[in-house]
Amino acid sequence: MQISQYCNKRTSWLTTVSILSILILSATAHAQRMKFDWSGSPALHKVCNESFLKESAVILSEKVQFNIQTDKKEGAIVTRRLHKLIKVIDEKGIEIYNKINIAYYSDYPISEIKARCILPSGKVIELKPDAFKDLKEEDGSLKKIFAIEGIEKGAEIEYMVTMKQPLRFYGSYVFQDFVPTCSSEFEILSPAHLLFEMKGYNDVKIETDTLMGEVRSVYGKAENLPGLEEEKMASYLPHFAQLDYSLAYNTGTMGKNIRILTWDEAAKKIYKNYFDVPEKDMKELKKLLTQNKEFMACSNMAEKQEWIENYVKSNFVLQTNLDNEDVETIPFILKNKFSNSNGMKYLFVALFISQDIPFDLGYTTNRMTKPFDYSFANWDNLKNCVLYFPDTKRYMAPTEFGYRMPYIPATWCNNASMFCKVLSLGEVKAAHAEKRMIPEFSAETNYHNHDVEVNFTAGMDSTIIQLKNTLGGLSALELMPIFVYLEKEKRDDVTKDILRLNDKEDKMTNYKYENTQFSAITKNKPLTISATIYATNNLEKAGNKYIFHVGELIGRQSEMYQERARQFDIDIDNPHQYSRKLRIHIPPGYKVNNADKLNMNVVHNFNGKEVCKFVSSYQINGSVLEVTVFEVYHDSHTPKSEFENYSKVVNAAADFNKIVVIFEKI
Amino acid sequence: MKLSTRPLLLLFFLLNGGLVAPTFGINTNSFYMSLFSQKTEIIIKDTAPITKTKYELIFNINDERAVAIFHSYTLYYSFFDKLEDLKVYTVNPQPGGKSKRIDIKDFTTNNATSSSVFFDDQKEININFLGLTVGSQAHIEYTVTTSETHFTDVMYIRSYMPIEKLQYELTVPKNVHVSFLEKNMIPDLVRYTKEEKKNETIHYWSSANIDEEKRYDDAPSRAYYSPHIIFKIDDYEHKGKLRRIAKSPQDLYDFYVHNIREVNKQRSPVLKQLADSIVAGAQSEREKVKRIYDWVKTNIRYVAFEAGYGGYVPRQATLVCNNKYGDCKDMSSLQFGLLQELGIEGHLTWIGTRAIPYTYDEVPLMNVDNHMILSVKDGSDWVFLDGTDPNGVYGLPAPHIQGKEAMIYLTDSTYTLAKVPVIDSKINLMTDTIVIQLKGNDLQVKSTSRYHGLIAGVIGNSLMYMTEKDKEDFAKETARRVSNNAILSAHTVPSDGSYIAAPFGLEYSVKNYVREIDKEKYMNPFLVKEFQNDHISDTDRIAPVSYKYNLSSSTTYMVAVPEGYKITYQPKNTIFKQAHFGFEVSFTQSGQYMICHQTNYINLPDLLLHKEEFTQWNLYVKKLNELYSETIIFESIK
Repeated sequence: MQISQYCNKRTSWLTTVSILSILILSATAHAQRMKFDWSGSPALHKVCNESFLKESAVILSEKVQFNIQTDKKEGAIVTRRLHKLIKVIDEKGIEIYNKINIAYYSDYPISEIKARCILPSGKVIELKPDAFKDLKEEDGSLKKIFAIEGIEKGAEIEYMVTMKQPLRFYGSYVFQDFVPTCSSEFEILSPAHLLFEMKGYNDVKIETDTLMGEVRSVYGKAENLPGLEEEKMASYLPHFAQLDYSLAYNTGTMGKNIRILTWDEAAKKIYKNYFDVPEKDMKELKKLLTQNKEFMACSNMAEKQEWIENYVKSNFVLQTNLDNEDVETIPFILKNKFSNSNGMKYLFVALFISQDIPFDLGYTTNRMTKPFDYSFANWDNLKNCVLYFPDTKRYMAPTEFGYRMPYIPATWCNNASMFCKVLSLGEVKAAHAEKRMIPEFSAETNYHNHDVEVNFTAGMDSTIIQLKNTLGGLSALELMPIFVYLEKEKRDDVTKDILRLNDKEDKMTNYKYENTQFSAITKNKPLTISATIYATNNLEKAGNKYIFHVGELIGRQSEMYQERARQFDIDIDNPHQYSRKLRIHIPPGYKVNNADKLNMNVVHNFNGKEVCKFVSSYQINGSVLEVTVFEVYHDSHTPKSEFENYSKVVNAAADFNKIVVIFEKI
Repeated sequence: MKLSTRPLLLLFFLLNGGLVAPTFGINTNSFYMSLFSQKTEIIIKDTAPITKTKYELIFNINDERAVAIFHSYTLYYSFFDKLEDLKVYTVNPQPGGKSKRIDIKDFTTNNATSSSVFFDDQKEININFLGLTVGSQAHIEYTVTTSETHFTDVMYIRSYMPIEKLQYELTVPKNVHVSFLEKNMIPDLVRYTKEEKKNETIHYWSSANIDEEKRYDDAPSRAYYSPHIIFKIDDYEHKGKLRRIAKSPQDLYDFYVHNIREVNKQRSPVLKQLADSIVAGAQSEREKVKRIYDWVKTNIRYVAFEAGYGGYVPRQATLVCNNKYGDCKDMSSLQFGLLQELGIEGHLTWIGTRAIPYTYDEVPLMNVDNHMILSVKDGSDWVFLDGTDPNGVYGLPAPHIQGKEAMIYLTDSTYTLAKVPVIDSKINLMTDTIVIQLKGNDLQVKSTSRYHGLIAGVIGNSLMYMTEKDKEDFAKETARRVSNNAILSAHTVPSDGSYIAAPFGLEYSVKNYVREIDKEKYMNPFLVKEFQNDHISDTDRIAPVSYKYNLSSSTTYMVAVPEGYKITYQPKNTIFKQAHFGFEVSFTQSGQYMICHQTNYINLPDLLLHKEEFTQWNLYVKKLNELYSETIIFESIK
């Protein structure tokens, strides 16, 4: 699962930036750090690390080079070269690597492709040209696909590809994979006047800019990398050895010391692209809002912000796959009621400007995929757009139609961001970049509470459970699409799966829902889901006593009882908490035994602060056994060193799940 | 922390349309098809018939939910189809009762991709509807011309969304003779009429207000239960001569046989050498066949390239042998080639997998099959060798062709049809011996499982792609199914090629499993609760429940009576037997052990559990669950 770093589709207006002032003629590159060698008589290679032989396959070597050249006729062109050598060790390794596909751009056909298999016997089987087929994928992307011939365990697969690709001045490159890698290299060659910079993450060695004759080279390398496995409650991709790169200087036009493609420059571009709304369009938008009675009834800034967000997200359709600038104009959007992400951002910005509602526009990443690093300007990281309203101190995600203020996707929070700060100097407006941390929502905001009332049938053959779940914040938002988009029967099916208490099938009826519209989120009304369960599986007869699975009333719990040595820090989407009140009506003529087990208290503190806890207690109130259970996770990030104690809290909930009480005849 | 099942589920429901109607009339509130029309005309072009089919579909989008969910549609077509005159437009309501038409011109045509075929020349067109709002109608019109009349577009009556008006039409020239097969038809669902004209006959099928079809994860393919009609051209007269197309299986065979005429006509010394080395030391012909079969399914990996009619032609054995990969036809060809070098006769065989319900007599069209195997005579019996099942067991068919009809090559003009058996549950046996010790209130468990018959192959197919680490995870997961706090201490997982009856061993402990009250310990011995959740909730469903194979299990729990304790309660022995499923459980005390022996079986003649048996099946699951909630009680002697 190498992250595709060369086939990103255009994702924002930012990437359409052209720096064609680079058109200074350059000589062909000869000097380079990397050699691309297709040996006539290849031999098997030694694996750099004995322990890698336990895996299914090892990437012995991978080299990727972008060679940027300029000429008068074609302008700037990039030649991409790739050379990869993989050893397959077992059947799984063969299954992963015997079929290869190479993505490429329709306007840039692959100019050279070679592939072969080196068998353990030393025999080499090279693919003939007709073995490479072209495939067009659903999203329109093209692939060259081929199957390696003659493959067996212990064989090496080698392939080399040369292709042209569109010019990109910034991006990322990933060196690591889910199988081990012995050596991985990445190089950018450019004409002397274009200077690139790189920043490595997770043990990537960078060799900075070197001029070799007429050609510059920047280069990154990583070696002896284990294959990374996913872990529970952790991010994955941020742990891969990787680098960010960006063009930093263009001495042809800008002089030696002027960094280009900076955050400030990005902020200026964003301002120009989004804030410059034609007068005619502005008039239309003003008319649209002022003619709307609902909008005109909004009495303050907060209500106006909320109304505009809900109006656009409920009445317009976001089609993310439309790569067409024609759909991004205000007249088009108002007429057709749909647009792509850029169009939606533009519509929101224009609507807020039209009503003089102050806001800032910024960008961040998904921290579970790649935390935002403000210290290195790589425009490729301007992924997710957020708006911030200073007077109500709230954020909004203009392209996430399943979110409403003040909520934005949890993984954008607790993450750095770049904001475009607009300063007005009289009539003149100027934009510059500002680093900001996007705060996250506290555990108290993201709650999931259970109220459970249990009665037993007279014959003690089943249990009637009244269940009410109350959810707020992000805990409610993540379920909201079920209620907004699904019809009743399907909605009940999904609800059943959310509410079910154990893995056994029980009859569930009488579903009730409240506050199932996105707008309820903004109004801070909790989502409630209720149902009645007729359970036959949580009561066991043992002689003249009954064993009641009281612990199951808190629902199914995840566990971390038997984990491998922890690799990564603990990362969860967002802080959250659960508060449960269980009321069990003790059957007449019976008393409760074993209830003392219901008192639990597992707390984990770190640096003098509570990180997470699980506490439960009970009391018997007349004929009712009352149990309260509270569980909280305060932070989305916790260091690896705390894993053992953290997992004790997670497991406490799973332990509680197994508690039973005994009903004994008095 | 709560176990989250949400994201996956949500995705599932959204992808499946997620829209349901009440049981009477059709639900036009949200999202439905107001028209599905498919009009086919048979035309004699040059000397052979072709078909030209005009499709017209209208989708109605009637609420915001539908707007959010429905914005794309995909058309699939094959290399022998020509798709023309594609028109896509939306008609949007405008104020004052007017409407506005938006034409959509941007289509992307690409290769259809599937998980089983690496390269497929089947094409698909993705349509994105633009500008849909509440009240929109989305129109799709197109024409498909097909030169291949050995394949027909099946006329399904139901869809995954409600249909207001459905019409099928077939125009047949007088010199062409057609016939129809109706499957799973419900009385009065479809109205059929016929119009005789001077030179042609027009057949009409129509229906209105059809409920959408519910889909079930555990159902077989919809061809098994969904009402549909298949037409075929039996023969046609041309210049006074009658030419056959699909009157009988012989016609299909005559058409198919061209694809294999040139396969393995040349003998190869390299192949001969390989064949000899594989069977070296083998005494009997059966042993030789078995070794060739084992070699091919182990050494040739499944990779399918499908391009044009080449997709129907097996590659030469020598090429497959060099590539070390191939599809079903290629693996059959290689087995054929290797056996041929040894003087053993193999028979290339066309077959449909269980996804297709038809026999060759019913549907002598390419719709009837999708797979190729090699058949070999063993005494008077046919043995079916499916190279695509890497851990297939010699003598047993691959699970996915059980019960299917095989069209076996004999000569260029003769074939035979044979039925692949459905393997009995007694052969597909799992045995478990589970020894349980009580350490305080914890359990120490040592279990040994062995798999026989088709199950051994199925288990092998998942184990073969596992590293040692994956196997450890698999063992942990198996223990965790008993209780999620089970801690695995040791495991033995069989390795390559030795899955039949090989021991799969687990040792694990479960904390606080036993409940202790006063002087008593309560212990539920049923660590493996087979079929516990297999209750069928919708007993009105028409779709049967499909099983991949029949199976039986035999589980022996040996619970050591803790020292200082005696048994004061043991559950009753129980037998529950129905025609096609059942269980039996017995409890006996032997020395220091309480022995609980349970056998379960499910043995369906067609691997389908039909509606008529749902009630009995649910009773079976209920009885099992009653059993699984039973406990053994130990009492302290002191």
